[in-house]
Amino acid sequence: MRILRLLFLLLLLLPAHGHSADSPAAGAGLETLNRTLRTELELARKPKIYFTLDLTKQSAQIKSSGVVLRELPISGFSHWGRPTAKVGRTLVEKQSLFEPERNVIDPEAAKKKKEGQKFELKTLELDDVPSSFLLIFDDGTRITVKGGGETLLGKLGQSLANGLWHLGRPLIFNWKFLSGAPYTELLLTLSRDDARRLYWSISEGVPCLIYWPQEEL
Amino acid sequence: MNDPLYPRQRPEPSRLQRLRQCLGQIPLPGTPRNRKLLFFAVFGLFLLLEISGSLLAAYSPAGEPVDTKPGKTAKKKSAAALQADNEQLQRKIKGLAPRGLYIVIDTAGNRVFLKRGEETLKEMLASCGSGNVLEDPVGGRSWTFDTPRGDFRILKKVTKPVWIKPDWAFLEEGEPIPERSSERNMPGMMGNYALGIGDGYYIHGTLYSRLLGRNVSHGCVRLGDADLEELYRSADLGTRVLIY
Repeated sequence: MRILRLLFLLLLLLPAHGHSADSPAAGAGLETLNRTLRTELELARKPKIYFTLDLTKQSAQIKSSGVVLRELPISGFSHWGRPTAKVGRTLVEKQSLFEPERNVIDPEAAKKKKEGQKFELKTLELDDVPSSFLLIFDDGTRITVKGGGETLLGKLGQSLANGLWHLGRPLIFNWKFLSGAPYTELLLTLSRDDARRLYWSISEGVPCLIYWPQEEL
Repeated sequence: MNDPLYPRQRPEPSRLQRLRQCLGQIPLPGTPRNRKLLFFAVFGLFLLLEISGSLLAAYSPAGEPVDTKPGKTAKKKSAAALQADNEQLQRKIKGLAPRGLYIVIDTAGNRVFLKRGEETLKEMLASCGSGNVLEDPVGGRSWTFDTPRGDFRILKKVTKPVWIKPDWAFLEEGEPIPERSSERNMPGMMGNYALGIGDGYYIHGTLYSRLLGRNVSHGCVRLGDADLEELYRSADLGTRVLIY
């Protein structure tokens, strides 16, 4: 039984060890930062919305022309796998358990409105979009976003979900390693509303830049 | 006392009790010792996979940089030179920000911000696209009422705008599409001013000011009368409009 307890303890400690990297190479970090900044400069010259993730400052930013349109603080992050070689990546898919549904307009409702009868205003608003979702990029990078639970029960549920996420990653990493596919996944925790804002603001085709902490490069 | 004609019936077992009974009837293979061994084997395998996955994640090399300009050999720069270059790049990125006044529209929060540099001069309550879909059962056409996102400019400034009611507005209200174009003119629907950003999208006024702050428009950005007037007077033609 003691051995079992010891093994279980080791298992709990493993995910924390998973993202510890080699000693920081300042030069490599500066070079990657240089390449990322060059890519951002190119993006900022285009009339496009793009998304940056500054993991050092723990902030997600929706930007255009170098202007921060919205800054979303990240309350926690962790990752599995090393940064991919590609600096500028494009969002190819957004996945969530419950996709927000668009309302198809019924002309009969408009008639009711004209006649002064009660009618329900159905539109797609921020509360209708998911706060937990997965972003998949063209270079294989995956970003799992989780909106923080506001109640104590919600926070507990989220801690449990994050724990399960960490337990599942090594298994996926083995599988990806054997199949020869690169694997980098980030877990970001934001406030529920900020997670929803992020889902709302970025759509397929939006470029994304990640500023990794120097020690991870 | 028990009546022989009406014997007392035992209460029906609950769902949970029935589930327990069913599970109890499933025969488990092997002896208890073998089952214990099997448990340890599965747990050990799981642990092994967890350890190997963690080690692979920690010690796998980061992706090699991709040479974005083939043909040119990238010169290795010193750390100090790289640092200086990075600072210059950051300045260049900041330098691309709009000069003078510009407008930022938050479609999720239904807000319009009038800005100069990093300073917000005014925050206004707005109504952006509803995200609803309208289908034309006869023509097979379809419309999605989203506010477009991206980098735009004010291309047109109109006072006392007249709304030319499009086909979708008739279909939405279950009305027939008129043949004469004069029947489409709707003065007073867009407020006193309208600022065009292209493709038929405008920042304009509304008759439904109580719905400001909600996503109810057909893609245009609606503002209250006072805010619209201030925006109209502040923003010139060519003013940048960043919508996210």
